[in-house]
Amino acid sequence: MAELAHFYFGRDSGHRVVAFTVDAEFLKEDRFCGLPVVAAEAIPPQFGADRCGAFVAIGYGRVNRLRAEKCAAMRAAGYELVSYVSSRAVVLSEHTPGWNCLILERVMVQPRVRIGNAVTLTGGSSITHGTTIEDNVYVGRLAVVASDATIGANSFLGVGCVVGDRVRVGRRCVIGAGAVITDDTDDDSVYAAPLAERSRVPSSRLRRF
Amino acid sequence: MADIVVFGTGANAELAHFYFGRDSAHRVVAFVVDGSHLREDHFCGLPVVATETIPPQFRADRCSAFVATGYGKINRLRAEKCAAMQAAGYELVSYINSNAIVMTDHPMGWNCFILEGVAIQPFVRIGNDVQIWPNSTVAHGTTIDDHAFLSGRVTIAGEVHVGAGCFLGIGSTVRDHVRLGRNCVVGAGAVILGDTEDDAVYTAPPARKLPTRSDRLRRI
Repeated sequence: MAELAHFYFGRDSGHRVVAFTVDAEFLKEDRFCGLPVVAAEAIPPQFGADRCGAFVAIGYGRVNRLRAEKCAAMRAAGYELVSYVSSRAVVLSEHTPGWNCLILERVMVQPRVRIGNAVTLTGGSSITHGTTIEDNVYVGRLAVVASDATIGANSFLGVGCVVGDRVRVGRRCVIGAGAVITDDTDDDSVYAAPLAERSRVPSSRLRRF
Repeated sequence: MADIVVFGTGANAELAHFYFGRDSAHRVVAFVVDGSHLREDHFCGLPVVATETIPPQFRADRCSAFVATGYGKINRLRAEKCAAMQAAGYELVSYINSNAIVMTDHPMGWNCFILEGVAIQPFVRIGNDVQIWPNSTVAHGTTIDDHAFLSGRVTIAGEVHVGAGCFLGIGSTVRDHVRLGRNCVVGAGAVILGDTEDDAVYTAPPARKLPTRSDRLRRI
């Protein structure tokens, strides 16, 4: 994720990445993507919060809690967290996404959508009008959320999943790849799509291919 | 460039006002509803007038129109209101978002609403009053008949025929060479692999709720 953030901020934003920071126990190398890596406990003055904004580039680890915790830590250290919105995303909502959001190419956000803080919308996902995406949500590629839905804080939506209109997905839910959710879900629940069946016919025997 | 009146005062009318206002050569100047539904005299900062008593400045000799009533009664409501507005003399206009990719050379009909991220491949034929929501894909050679509604991220493969008045739910998928009958309803996330009869209704198998809490999952 950090490599991706470096790529996107470097190629397509008004910001410039100047360093990476990790907790000291994870400090394994002193350079990454050609830039210095410094321990969060000993950040040199030129990278301090008075000179730099920050972005926490952590995926959905521990159902998005890890990203939420590191955002809180960076804010406690005084950093203003910035968001990235791809120039190839179409964000039509009048409500500005919160801090530390990552909104990638071909994301479509319709009018009246509300997006909280530290939300990741990966490529091609669609958020339809009137929907609310709460803090720390991660939305997988090509996932689609219909109108007037709510995705509870810290939930994870897998690649290609579908959430119907007016549905409320609870907090900290995990919705698996390709799952179709048409009713509200409880907090902390886990859903999976039905698995594809393997046909007994080998592909070489298919008539219409 | 035309001044247009929008039929309706619901969420779809609000969206039509938004998209025409931000991203078209047209300008919304008023909303119209049937007199029996007239509840407010302004919507989105513009006048709302009854179809039975439209003031001269909003009539068909001065304005075009767009019908924004959603998929009520499986698209029949919108079809009826399109017919009524045309009977009143209005030319119905279509909207194609500047972030849609429309490659077909066949002209699209009237009262179409094609939103951001939609991709329409070559040789596709799109009828009148077809609504296609964000990030949907219509592959080459497909025909979409009048009054169909494609929700967000619908995928229609090549050489498909979508019958008049069909509703395709969010995230649904239709494979190539399939023929959907008229007025079908394809539920959210459903996958259609064969031809369907008129008026048929399909739903996707729902996701299974697993007997575990999300914080017990190992790989996330």
